[in-house]
Amino acid sequence: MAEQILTLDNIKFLLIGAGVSLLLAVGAMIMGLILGIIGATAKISKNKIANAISFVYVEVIRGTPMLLQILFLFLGFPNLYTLITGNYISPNPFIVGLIAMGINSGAYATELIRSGIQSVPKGQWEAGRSIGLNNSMTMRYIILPQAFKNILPPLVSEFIVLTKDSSLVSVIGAAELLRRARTLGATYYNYLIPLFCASLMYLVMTMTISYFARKLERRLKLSD
Amino acid sequence: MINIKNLHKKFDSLEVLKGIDMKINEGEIICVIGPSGSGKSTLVRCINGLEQINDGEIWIGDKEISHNKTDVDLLRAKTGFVFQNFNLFPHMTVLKNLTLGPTKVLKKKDDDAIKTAEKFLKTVGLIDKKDSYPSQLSGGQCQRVAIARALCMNPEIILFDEPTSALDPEMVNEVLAVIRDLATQGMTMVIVTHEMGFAKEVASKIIFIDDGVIVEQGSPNEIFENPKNQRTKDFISKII
Repeated sequence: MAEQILTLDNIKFLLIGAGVSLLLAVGAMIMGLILGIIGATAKISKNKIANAISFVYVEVIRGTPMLLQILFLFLGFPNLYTLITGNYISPNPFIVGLIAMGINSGAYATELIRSGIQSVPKGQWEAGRSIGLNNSMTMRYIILPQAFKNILPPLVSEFIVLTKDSSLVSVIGAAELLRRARTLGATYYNYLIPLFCASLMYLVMTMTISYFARKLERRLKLSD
Repeated sequence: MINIKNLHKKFDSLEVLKGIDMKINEGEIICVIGPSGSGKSTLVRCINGLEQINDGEIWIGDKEISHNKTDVDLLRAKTGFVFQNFNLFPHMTVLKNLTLGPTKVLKKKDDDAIKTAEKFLKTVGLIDKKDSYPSQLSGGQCQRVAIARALCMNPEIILFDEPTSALDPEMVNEVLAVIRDLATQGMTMVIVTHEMGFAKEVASKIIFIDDGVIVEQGSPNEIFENPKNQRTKDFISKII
């Protein structure tokens, strides 16, 4: 049985799925970081409206399942679109999955980055301002680099979670790793081997991320 | 050069500065002394716009700066500030600490900024530490780097907020020596300090603050040898 399933083509088929999963995770992480910086800035700003928007964003996204968010964007949103414009759309599952994951990750990143920013002593702001840097320059050159260093371990955890949770996008038909493993399973009436291979691939991805994160952390420690 | 009129500063309901009037002329070295909690630090922080003032005016040259945000950035670029806790940027090397402001605010080229930075690192005697991180330096060395960082912005005045208070006693002198050096070069400075011997030696004017007002000001001789106000007398006799 194993020889039948583990052909070069099938392994390639799964590896491409692993690539898609990783692409989803990386894309979502980048989107999440951008949203997180915006969200965190809004959360600590003195503007009440910005505070409120950021608060609602984080609470709604963190308070509902990611699976539901993916389904909502893929199935619910087209209904809304039809209701408003009268036209039909059939969204691309990969794109929708990526956006849903990015929005989801942004909520967690907002809280992480906010705590990171607030962990930088107030004197660093003052020192930045005292040499004439304006607010956004101080944020960019002084505060964020220190904030990211402080929150690197939880950010890496978030990235690992994203890599695994990209499997949720399989429910809307994106051909990522888990989806492909199940396809193989259905083809050969054997799920054991494809699912086992998929788990190995997830493990290799997450452990590689951990490895590079540890290296990066050690490099950043130089200034301690 | 700097003219302060009727400066008031409150933290919530606590009024820390209750109407300060003072003038800082070019080349002057003003030492601000007074008991803890008298408002000395708040005063220099207000001059640099680190604290928003509640009432009064701060004039730099012919510009009133305290109520305009863009002018405050401009003001800060022209006035150096040296903190009690140094506040060096821990994620940057000493050299990077010094070149950040000149490259980003003054838009200097990298080579120019590095040249200036190295010049001032020599002035404070730390050129061999240019590639170190702040965590690898002693407190006294950190404060000297902080002074060099302020100098790199080519400031018209440097404000010192208790520059030696966070230092171990054996490191106080190396920092004071650097400030003394600046004094002989004619740098305009306002120094909040508890080092009375030093104040007496370098200051061209002493300002004694108590309870948010300037109680007495004058030459070091007038304040230390011949104080007129009773509160000044009490303070001086307690610390000398």
